Amino acid sequence: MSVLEERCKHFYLRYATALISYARRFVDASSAEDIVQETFLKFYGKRLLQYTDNELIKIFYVTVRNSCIDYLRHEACLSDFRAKKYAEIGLDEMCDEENHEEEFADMLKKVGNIIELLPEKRRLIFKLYYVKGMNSKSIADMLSLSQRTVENNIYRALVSIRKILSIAKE
Amino acid sequence: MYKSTEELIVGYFERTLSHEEMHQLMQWLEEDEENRRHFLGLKAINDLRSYSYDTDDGWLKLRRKITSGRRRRFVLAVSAAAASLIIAVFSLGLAHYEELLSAMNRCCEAPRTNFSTGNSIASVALPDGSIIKLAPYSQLSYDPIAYNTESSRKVSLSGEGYFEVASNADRPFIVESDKQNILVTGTRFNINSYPADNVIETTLLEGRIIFNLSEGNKSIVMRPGEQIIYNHAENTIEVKRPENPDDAIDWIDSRYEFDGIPLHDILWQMKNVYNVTFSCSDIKALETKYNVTFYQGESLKEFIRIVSNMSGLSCVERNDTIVFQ
Repeated sequence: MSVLEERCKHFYLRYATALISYARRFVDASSAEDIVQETFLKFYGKRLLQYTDNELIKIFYVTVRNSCIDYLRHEACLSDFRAKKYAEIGLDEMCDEENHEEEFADMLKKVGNIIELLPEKRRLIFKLYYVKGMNSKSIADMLSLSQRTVENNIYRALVSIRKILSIAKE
Repeated sequence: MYKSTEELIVGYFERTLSHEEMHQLMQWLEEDEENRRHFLGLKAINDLRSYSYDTDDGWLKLRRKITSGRRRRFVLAVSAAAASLIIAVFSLGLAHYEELLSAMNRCCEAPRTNFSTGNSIASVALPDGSIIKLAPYSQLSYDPIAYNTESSRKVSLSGEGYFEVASNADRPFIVESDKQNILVTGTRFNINSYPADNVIETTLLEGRIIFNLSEGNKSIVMRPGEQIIYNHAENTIEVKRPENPDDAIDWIDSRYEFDGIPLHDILWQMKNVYNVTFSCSDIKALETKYNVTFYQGESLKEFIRIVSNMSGLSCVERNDTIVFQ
């Protein structure tokens, strides 16, 4: 394996999950992976070797974000109603948000603390959904619950977290 | 079925809403500003969700993209090496295969063994005795070391191939294409997955295979004689039982036989044989059915002449597209 490939592999294994999770806030799963991989291909070369991980990851976030915007703009022009709505809501949000990175990290930490306050069953379901990234169908299968129950618990957990967050703000 | 707002919102987050459900949700959002605020508040929290992702698998995919972009100029060298390898395998027997393989790996330093066909058909013999016939303009690659040592035997295919897999229940055989993979133990089947097409056709002739989509966790167990048509552009899967499943491997006999097949299907299939794009806007002509046989080695010119004769359409060439009109 060449030095460049080594470097690329290291960076991918370390950051791909985070970058893809980030892109999935705006686009669907397979587009998120494509966008992140495209970014790697774009940077594959000298630039990958020039920067440190910390410098590089910032550049990658910005590039992934811009690619998501391009992608959503394109989707918003399409005729598929579902894709269009996802794109519109995603774009709205991206324009509102101006890279409040610190706020983001802060909120992530707070949410993590609040999850621990949820009732036992809800906490488990929500952790599987939110932290492990499982979908409601596989959680339902795993815990032998109906999908409806799982979705209901996810919803209630989100509502509680939102309430606690807004109380904490005031 | 009517869904509650809760289910709609979670469905939105999981991207599982149907068309109607999306409408319902949008209506609910527009009803009241408070609804919208509530939704966006939950979405802001949901956006922090982390998704599970198989980075190892993702890396292999990325590496494939990197090398396919970079290795194009080596293809000639590799396929020449591959050709001599096949000859060597057949003349020396399988005993020396690994030695040859490592020798070949040393000389071109390719971690994967690649076989590409031009406009002809090629046979590939794998170390365990499995045989693969590759259709024109197709590529097969595998990691020879992993193939011999790991718990499953993995190959990747782009294009079309017919597989006769040596039976070994302990070490399943996996064919990966861009959008799907199938898992088998020992069996005969055909996969048609040219990258330019939106559909991948998998036809099982004998044995049992498990069909998986790369995305999501959908699997289907296929029975002999079944054909799965996966359209990855529209994300639809159709399971068919063709009357003559063996038609799927007509190309091996270097013969393309069409019995009562509409012209659009004929052009669709033959475009891979000639590696060109056909286009025709005459819907009526496209739906007309024909009985016709083409033979491998026939030139594109000859093919166009036959189609023009039988359909009464004339043909012009525009850039890389053959237009019947």
